Amino acid sequence: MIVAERKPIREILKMIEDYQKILILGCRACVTACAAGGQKDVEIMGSIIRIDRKRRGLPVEVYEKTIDRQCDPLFFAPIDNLITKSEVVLSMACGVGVNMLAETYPNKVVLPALNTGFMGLLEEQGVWAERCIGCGDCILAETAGICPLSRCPKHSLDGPCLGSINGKCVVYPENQCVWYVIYERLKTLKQLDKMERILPFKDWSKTVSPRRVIREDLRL
Amino acid sequence: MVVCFYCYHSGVGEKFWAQIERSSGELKKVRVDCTGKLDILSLLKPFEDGADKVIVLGCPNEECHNLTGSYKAKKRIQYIQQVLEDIGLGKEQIEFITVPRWVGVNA
Amino acid sequence: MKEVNGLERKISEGKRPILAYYHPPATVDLAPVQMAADLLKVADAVVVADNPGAVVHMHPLVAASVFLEKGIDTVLELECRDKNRLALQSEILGALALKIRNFLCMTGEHQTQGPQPEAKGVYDLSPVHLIQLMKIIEQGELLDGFRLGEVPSIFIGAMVNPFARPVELHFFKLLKKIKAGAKFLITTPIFALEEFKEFIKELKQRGFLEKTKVFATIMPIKSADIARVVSKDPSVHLPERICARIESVPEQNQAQEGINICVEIMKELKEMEEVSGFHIMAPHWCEVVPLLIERVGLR
Repeated sequence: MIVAERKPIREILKMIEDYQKILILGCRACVTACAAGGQKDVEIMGSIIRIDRKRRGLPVEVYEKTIDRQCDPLFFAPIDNLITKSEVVLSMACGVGVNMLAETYPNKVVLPALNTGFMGLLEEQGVWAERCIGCGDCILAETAGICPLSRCPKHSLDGPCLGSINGKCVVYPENQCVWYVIYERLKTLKQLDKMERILPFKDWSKTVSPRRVIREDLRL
Repeated sequence: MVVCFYCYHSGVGEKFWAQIERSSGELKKVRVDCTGKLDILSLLKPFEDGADKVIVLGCPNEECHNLTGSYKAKKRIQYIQQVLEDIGLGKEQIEFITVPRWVGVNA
Repeated sequence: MKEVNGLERKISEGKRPILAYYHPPATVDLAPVQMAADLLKVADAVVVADNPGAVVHMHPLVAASVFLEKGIDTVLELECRDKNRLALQSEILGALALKIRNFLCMTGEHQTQGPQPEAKGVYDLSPVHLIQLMKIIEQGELLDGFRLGEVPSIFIGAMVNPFARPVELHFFKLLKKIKAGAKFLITTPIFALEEFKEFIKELKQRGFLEKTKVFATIMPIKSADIARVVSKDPSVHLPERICARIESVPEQNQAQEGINICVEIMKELKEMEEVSGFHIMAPHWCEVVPLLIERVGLR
């Protein structure tokens, strides 16, 4: 999933300062799973905004809505009225959702309530961790399904650095060294010979923005 | 107005209420099955409705009937304290007070 | 036939070259480098660090040029943290033009561990790739196939931590470095001799010593405070007994005790034929280099 987290409240309140009719728009996809922008988070955000305005004696009208996905304009149609009557949409989706809104509604101010982080998974309750950098050229077949690029702060493609001691990362000692994890797993899989292989130079051109996937067979 | 959520397992009694009423003036008591049932939204709502302060009365962590209820309530209160701080209300506007479970009704 | 590099030749002649580790200054003038050169000229070559500790220092190529002007050989450190493959290649060309023949390929400490943690880390290449890149250049080409013409022989080095565990995991990485073409290895500082001997034995058994030479690193510790700081670095294996020994003497004698420890270690290392040379790591204490050489009787 795409992992995001709420921006600091002060930053959000400052962004919406000049607006009175605010639509807080949640997304039921990734940001619901990482507890950042789902229905519950939308309700909390609405409550916070109302408390703030009440405290300062300023008027506000907050609409709260959560849709299935914000990265597909299909899901905007049923709430088109709501978007139209709001002065501003405070999107609680990932950056993609914010972009989609902005591209779909040229005349509407769209603001992000989240900071979008990475592609990752739930490591333990309340802890999400990166597992893929989207390098466009997957090497997981070589590394026992464990990604060294997303889990090594130095993006090491060739093994542990000198500071990796007893399986601990030198930069983030609370983490395991990803090359230790790879090594242990390859051992279990009886594929340790893969540890001896020098991987080719990474082709970073596959990560150059803006990236696109084009499927001619599907194009109209 | 002070809104006071209290766990019915905890030992909150008359004396306790009298003490809180003395220091807070108007008091709204809300009985809950466990402070762990109070989610962030339900703790924020009183502020929307005009409460000056929210107090949560719960059992000691190790005496929680549902094992982790008090622990979770405290974590959520910490979250709200940060929010209140950011809004400018101040984090002391919400607090958790630990009440032992078996102090009796007169405590 | 390519001209044989000075440092490499000394090793093949059975001499044990001494490397002195040097941090270029964070200044806009060369005077500190010139002063250091006077102290470090006793060494066979100076290892010029590349933004060590992710702290900004003068560009190592500029500092190295000062040593070269004074006739002191250098080993240029190249870190993958700050430079992509384009920058690395241009730096290697510049260094070769300045007649630098020895290179140390490494990743470098992570930028978040330095005083400018907001910097973007590059990590385009890993050290093994950097070694491969150096081999390509040595063969007269750039990565895009551009022909460079005649390129001299390059003495390519890498770092190794003899004390890193698990041993097998770290040997896989070492194997890749050697396969890629590392002709010499510089160890992390050695304080634990028994463990170092185990490491050498392992190197020998795997036949690595036929392909690469080992420079043993000596790190003189100036005070108990520094010992405590060093002991917190996971990549340096500093046994508690060494810290305790430095702490056990009065403050004004601690530097001397640090030197004594090094002399003892170096004398033992001198007896090991597998140790091809020494690397004295005292970047903020250049005066100690001539002193150690004299006391150990390396000249």
